[in-house]
Amino acid sequence: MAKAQEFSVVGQRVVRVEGYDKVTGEARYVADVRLPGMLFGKILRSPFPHARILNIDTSKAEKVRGVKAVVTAEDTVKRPWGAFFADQYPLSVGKVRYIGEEVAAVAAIDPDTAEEALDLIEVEYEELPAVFDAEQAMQEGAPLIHDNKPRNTAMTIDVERGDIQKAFTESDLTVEDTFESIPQWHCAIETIGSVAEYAPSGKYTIYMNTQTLFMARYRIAAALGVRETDVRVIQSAVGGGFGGKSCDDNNAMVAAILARKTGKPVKTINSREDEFLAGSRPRVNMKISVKMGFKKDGKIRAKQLRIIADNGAYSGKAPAITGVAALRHDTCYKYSDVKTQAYLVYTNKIPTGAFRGFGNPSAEWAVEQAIDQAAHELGIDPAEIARVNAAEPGYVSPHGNRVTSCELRQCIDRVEKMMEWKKKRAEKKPRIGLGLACTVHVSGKRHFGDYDGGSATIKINEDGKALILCGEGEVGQGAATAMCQIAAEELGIPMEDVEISQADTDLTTFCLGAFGSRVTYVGGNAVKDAATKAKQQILAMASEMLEARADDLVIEHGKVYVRGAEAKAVTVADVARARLFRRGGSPIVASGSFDADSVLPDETRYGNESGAYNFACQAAEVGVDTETGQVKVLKYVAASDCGTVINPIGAEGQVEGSVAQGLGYALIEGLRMEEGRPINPNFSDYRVPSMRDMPDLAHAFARSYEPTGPFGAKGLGELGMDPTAAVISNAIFDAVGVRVKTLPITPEKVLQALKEKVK
Amino acid sequence: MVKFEYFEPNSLEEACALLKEHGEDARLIAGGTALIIMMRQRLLNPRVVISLADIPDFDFIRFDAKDGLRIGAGARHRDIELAPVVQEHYPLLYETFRKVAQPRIRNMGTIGGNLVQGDPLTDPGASLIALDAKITLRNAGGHRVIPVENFFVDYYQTDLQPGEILTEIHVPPSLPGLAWAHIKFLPRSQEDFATVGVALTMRLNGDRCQDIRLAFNSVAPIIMRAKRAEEILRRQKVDDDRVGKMAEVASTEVDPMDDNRGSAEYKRELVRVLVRRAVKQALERSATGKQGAKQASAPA
Ligand SMILES: Cc1cc2nc3c(=O)[nH]c(=O)nc-3n(C[C@H](O)[C@H](O)[C@H](O)COP(=O)(O)OP(=O)(O)OC[C@H]3O[C@@H](n4cnc5c(N)ncnc54)[C@H](O)[C@@H]3O)c2cc1C
Repeated sequence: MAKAQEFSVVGQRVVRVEGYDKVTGEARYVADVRLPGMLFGKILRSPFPHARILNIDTSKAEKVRGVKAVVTAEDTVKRPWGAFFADQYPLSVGKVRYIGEEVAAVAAIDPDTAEEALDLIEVEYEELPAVFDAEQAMQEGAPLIHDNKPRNTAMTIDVERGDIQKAFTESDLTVEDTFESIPQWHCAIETIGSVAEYAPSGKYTIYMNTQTLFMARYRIAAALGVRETDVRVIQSAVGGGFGGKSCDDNNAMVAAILARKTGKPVKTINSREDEFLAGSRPRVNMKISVKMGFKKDGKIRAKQLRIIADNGAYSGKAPAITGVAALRHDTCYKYSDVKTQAYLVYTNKIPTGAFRGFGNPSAEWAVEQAIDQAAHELGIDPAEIARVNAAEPGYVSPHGNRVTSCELRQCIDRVEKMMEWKKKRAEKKPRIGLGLACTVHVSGKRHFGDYDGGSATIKINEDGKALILCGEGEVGQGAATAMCQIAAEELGIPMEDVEISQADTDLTTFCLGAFGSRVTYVGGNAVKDAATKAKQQILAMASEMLEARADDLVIEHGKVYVRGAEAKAVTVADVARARLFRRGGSPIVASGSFDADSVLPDETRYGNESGAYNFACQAAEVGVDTETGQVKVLKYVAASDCGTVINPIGAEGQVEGSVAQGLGYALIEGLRMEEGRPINPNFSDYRVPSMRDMPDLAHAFARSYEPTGPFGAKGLGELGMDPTAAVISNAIFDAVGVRVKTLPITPEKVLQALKEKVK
Repeated sequence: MVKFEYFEPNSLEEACALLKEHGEDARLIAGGTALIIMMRQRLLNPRVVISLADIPDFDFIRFDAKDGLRIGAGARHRDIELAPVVQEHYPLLYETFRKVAQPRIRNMGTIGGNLVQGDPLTDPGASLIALDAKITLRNAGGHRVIPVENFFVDYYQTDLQPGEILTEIHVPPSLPGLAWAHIKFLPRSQEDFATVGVALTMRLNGDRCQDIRLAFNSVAPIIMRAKRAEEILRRQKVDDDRVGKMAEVASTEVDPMDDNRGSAEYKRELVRVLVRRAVKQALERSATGKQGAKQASAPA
């Protein structure tokens, strides 16, 4: 097993490559993009959860001085689009399905004028009966939201592996319960925005803060009815995505439609209110019934899930998210017999979608509590029950997921140690409790067609500096830095000698982008492949210059020399120049690619979904105020197995940020709606944890090496928030013996549960 | 935001004159932390905005042992929090202002804007009521002085009359040995508005309570004083029974509503718990004689 110490750049605590720009305010976010003649777009949204549009009169709005265009569906090709199911339009066609849906839009010389014009657009609606609860929406006779989706069911999963009936009969203990999760908003510091330009030749250029450029291009092209190449997406600096900027919303489409109609660049930036209503799609909320069978020694014998997932009005990524909730956890522990039924159901609410964790934080909220419950009932230490069931290298899940590297047990050990678990358990104090949970996540997942690959190009400039051209993009998570480290390591040049380009669909090759904890693993492998190939070109040229066999050469700190004869070195710059400036010369440039060794799951959802799996264990110590119900997290520990840690600073940031979002999910967040209208769509009513709210947090990274990863690395970005809600709930149970089964665990609910317990 | 005309008068007289001239169309702006949000959401669309930023000496903080504390309406939360005279003589105020939002807001928002906004979720009002503070309201024709507790009329409504400017807050001289407590119950985030806010002052004589003032924020349409609850303890021996009774009465005196911070019923329950805790804290402070700011307790 290779260790980080063997590397010179990988594993070092390096400063963010885009850090200087960000702290000095130089970084160009989409709001900073100003093009000559640029107009400002504003969107008119549906005030009704479900209504037919009878007529739209834009004439008054058009007359406002400074208004350049008002657009409705009549200005579009009326072609539906969507990540998995084409079920939404850029501007409503015929009817609206949720409060906030884009009905019309205005471009004007300034935002205030555009807003003024919005008020003058007259829309005649015929209200339709609406349905807000997923279970009710599945009933016969419920209002139909999409004509082609009977019982409002977008998707059904029904999978059984092994013999579930028999497995339950053979169990010594069965636990059963139902848990509900919530739609959680990303609350990225920067809202979604776009600046679109349209050239009469037919090409759209769109600056946007997306996490997934090429997928955005694909969807925008579909919505506009043009070819992919007719849309150029350029990524601006991105102020946080967390899944919310993976282009399931209409912001960029509307900007493009307005740009085409006006012939001017148009900027549409979501206000915070827009963002809550129809920007980043909040986490898919689910109702999860879990039934699990255990042997006396704590070994899991059977698991059965029934999930009702709330899709909201349009699908976005919810189908894949529901799939993850239904099946993913079966890779965390050694399962044999499992059954899972999941229903993804349309409702007249804000569409739900991708958020860090992608279904895991919902499923694990239920499953990890059931396991904890079993541990308590069997009188087994929760850390022990996790340990006896933990996946290990070579494990193949009932659904065909193949685990290569896995250090889950090590994570459990590290958590026990950091938390002083055994000691604290032995000296249990009243109203203070410990909880723990584990998780598994993928490092990229094959689901948008049979490809989970990445590609990158590296060119070596005449001064010896390498430039990575890559379309995966940087969303604030540190991917660009990790890629530069990987390239520097492979090329043998210092970190300062590596740069990475802005992601741009016209200039970089196809990449799926930042989702599924994939960029370091998949994109990193592609960069490494490009670097290997560029290195071969360097070595071939240097071998001529040094009159030595390429095999005998090493590149270190930007110098090439014959092993053992460092004094007679040439620099990479010398090599690049020599190769270029000669008759028939050529630059050093190489393209690399990688496609994970996974398979597209079959119709029974069997198949290894990812190239590598990452694991984590987390634990919390909480104190519960039994008079007010308030839960205070006294200490939190997180141990992660992400293979080789490429940049410890970045990795620690990922874990800290994930835990913060996880604690918000567990204790305070959640979109609340009444009749389809959000009642907390602002930062006064919707709180996220602030710096001051973070508990004492300790983290550790397992000694681990993923053989298929770049220098042994695998994914990390989502792992940290998957188990957190369950961790907290398990700790509360340990402290005061109650479980709150709906998120968030508010003090009021805790107090209520305590009262019921006394009864 | 709807377009508006903007003035920066250089004196109170000028500001009053402008207010008079533009009447209903005009709005004063101090720190803007409350007003701008409402204007951006187009809940308020004033045609004229009059800034108080250039009024000289509008943010003073002066203390005199005989007269007490006088604070200009333009003083920012942060100015008040950090003023040595406040920390030394009015630990309850220090404790309150350090818990207002976070430094970004405290550096912008003013005490005048805070009170005039009439937002029942905000903190300073309850503590000012507990300290029996008064405010000065001025218009083009003269001025009047009223107790803070009479200023709050209804949800987001105060007794500020058209043409009036709040100019000064006056807190009576600090009494040596005054027992006090402030609890801002913040289960969601340290930067949130209070789910329940309690401000309490008690004058003690041995184990008797000579006088008491108990005020709340976040549990009624206004920042309110709980007079019926106070009566349970006023001129009585302070014991668990009476304190419990006072807490009980307080929980019926408040008039909370359901919101994102909890149900009305839960907030009443919290009032019961937090009143008892506030008395306990106040007694502990007075028993140890440690009333200074440094001993201020963490939020509940
Ligand atoms: C994110 C956030 C968090 C907050 N958290 C808290 C908290 O935890 N606790 C808390 O107590 N408060 C909190 N607040 C509220 C904050 O204290 C007030 O917004 C602030 O004090 C208002 O003062 P201002 O100077 O900004 O008022 P402005 O916004 O300038 O004005 C507010 C209103 O008062 C009027 N006005 C201003 N000055 C005068 C005057 N001298 N005479 C007459 N009328 C006047 C204005 O016309 C306007 O109607 C928070 C606010 C925000 C935005």
